Amino acid sequence: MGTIHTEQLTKHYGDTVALDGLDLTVERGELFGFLGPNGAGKSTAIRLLLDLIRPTAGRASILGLDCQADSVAVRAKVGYLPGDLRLYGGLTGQDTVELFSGLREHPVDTGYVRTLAGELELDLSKHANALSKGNRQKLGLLLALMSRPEVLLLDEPTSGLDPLLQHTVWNLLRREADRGATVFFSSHVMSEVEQVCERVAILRRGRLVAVETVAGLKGRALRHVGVTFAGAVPPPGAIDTPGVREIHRGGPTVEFEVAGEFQPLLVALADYHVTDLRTEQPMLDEVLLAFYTGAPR
Amino acid sequence: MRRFPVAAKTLRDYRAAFISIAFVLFAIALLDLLIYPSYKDSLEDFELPAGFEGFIGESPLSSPEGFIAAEFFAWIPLLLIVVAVIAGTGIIAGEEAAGTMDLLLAQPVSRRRLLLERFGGAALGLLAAALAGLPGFALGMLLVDFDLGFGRIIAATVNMVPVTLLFLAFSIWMSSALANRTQASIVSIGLVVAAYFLNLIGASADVLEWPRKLSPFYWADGSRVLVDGFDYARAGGLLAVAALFVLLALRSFEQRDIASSAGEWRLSSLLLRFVRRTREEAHTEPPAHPAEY
Repeated sequence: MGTIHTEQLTKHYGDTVALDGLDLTVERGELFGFLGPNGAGKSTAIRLLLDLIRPTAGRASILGLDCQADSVAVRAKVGYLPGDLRLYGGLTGQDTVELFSGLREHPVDTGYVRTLAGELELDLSKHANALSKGNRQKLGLLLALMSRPEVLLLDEPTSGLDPLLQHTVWNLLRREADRGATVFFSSHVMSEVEQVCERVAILRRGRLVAVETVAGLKGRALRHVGVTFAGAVPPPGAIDTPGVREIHRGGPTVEFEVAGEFQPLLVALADYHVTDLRTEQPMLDEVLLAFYTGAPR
Repeated sequence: MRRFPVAAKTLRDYRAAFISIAFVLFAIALLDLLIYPSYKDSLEDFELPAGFEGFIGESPLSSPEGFIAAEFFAWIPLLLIVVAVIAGTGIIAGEEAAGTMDLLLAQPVSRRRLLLERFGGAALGLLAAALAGLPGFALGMLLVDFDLGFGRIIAATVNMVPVTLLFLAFSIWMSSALANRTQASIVSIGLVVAAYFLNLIGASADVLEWPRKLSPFYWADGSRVLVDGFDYARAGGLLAVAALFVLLALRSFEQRDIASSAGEWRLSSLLLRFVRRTREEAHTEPPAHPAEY
């Protein structure tokens, strides 16, 4: 059993199925991405793990503790950042830190809080209602990280942050994983998941449609390959290889769309004199979009 | 309060309300005693309309007991109860509507502890506010001749607390059960008004003599305490009902989902859904043959 484990976790709201039989295992120290469009059930799953809402069926555990029966013990080991973060407007960052620290068996390390605030360039003396959206998000992250939790549940952690700060957050998450924490975060931005995660789960309309490594997803991705020939250009249909489709030709250059490995294309090109071969990054967004629309490649 | 951070936060959240009501109680207590000598003689011949003992008890209005029963203890509990309802409906449903409940309950704190600390913090604030009348009475008694033992005033002041806690607990229950502050406030204030007038009117209507005893205000009669002293049985009964409401609130809060910040819109969402469904049904053609079902 992994650090985070769910079995047929299901949540209905009346006739609406928010989450449908989620089976998922996340291992210790993993950086795990939870992908899906808005309304796919990502926040529902995270709120179920925290016992904020109760499952219609199924069960979930974190570090071997049942998320419902042992919810207080679970939350002692978890840091959480809500997707729709709301803070106490009348409290300063420091007040909020002290409030949540007081609810823990052991108060948080104030030195570590100061270090985190410095890394995030966050002024803890300001009231939450005087902070910009980005700074409120920073405070939310600090609150999630300050107890050095064994598990981090982050619902779209970089939402509202500028690119520079996004990198800071990604580095913080990598550091957390390096010290052994399990980082489980939701996102609908593939590039972010690609930067940070080792594995991803993809949700669509409450159902899990894929659990893959990022490398595996890239393997599914389409790439455009431009090949320039010296001398004879292969006639249309000559490169008849599974996973390879010609999409454009102009002069000595032919462009192909390749699904999966390059090897079949390279074998087919061996009979020709190739002077140049260009390829692009895998288009993971297209893979993701295909999952979202229900037509996975 | 460091061991009870949520209770401390509750006091802080509602400190403006608690301090304001405390100041009002202090000022009215002092003012009542200062004006008593001027009104005493003119009230000698004043006869209350029949049945008004439900409001101020049976003591003559010109007596110290009758005067402060009418001028203070007959209606000041209502002010405390209004503050109790504001706090009671805010500390669960209000927190959910504000969207801060998710972050708070993501900490290692049980819902039971959260609710009890919230209740404790509000109860402490209300107790302090209720007792704020005492310095006003004490100061007034130093300045004017008021022939009533201070012990009786203390007893009547403390007597306001159980009924206030009862309505605090009820409003927390509503807040927990309905998860919607507006609805919880309407139900709680509705109950306060109904119970107050049931006790008031019941004193003069024989037909309401028994139902009147369902009103917490009947059992919290301050005028009786001013004459006979503190009634532990009545106060204990009110506190027992308050404890029952707290248990019901715990049961509701522990069993349900925590609403998202959109909780306040739940009623309108349900109405919208009802309207949509009604429209859909209106536009659905019945099948030509039952076998098509």
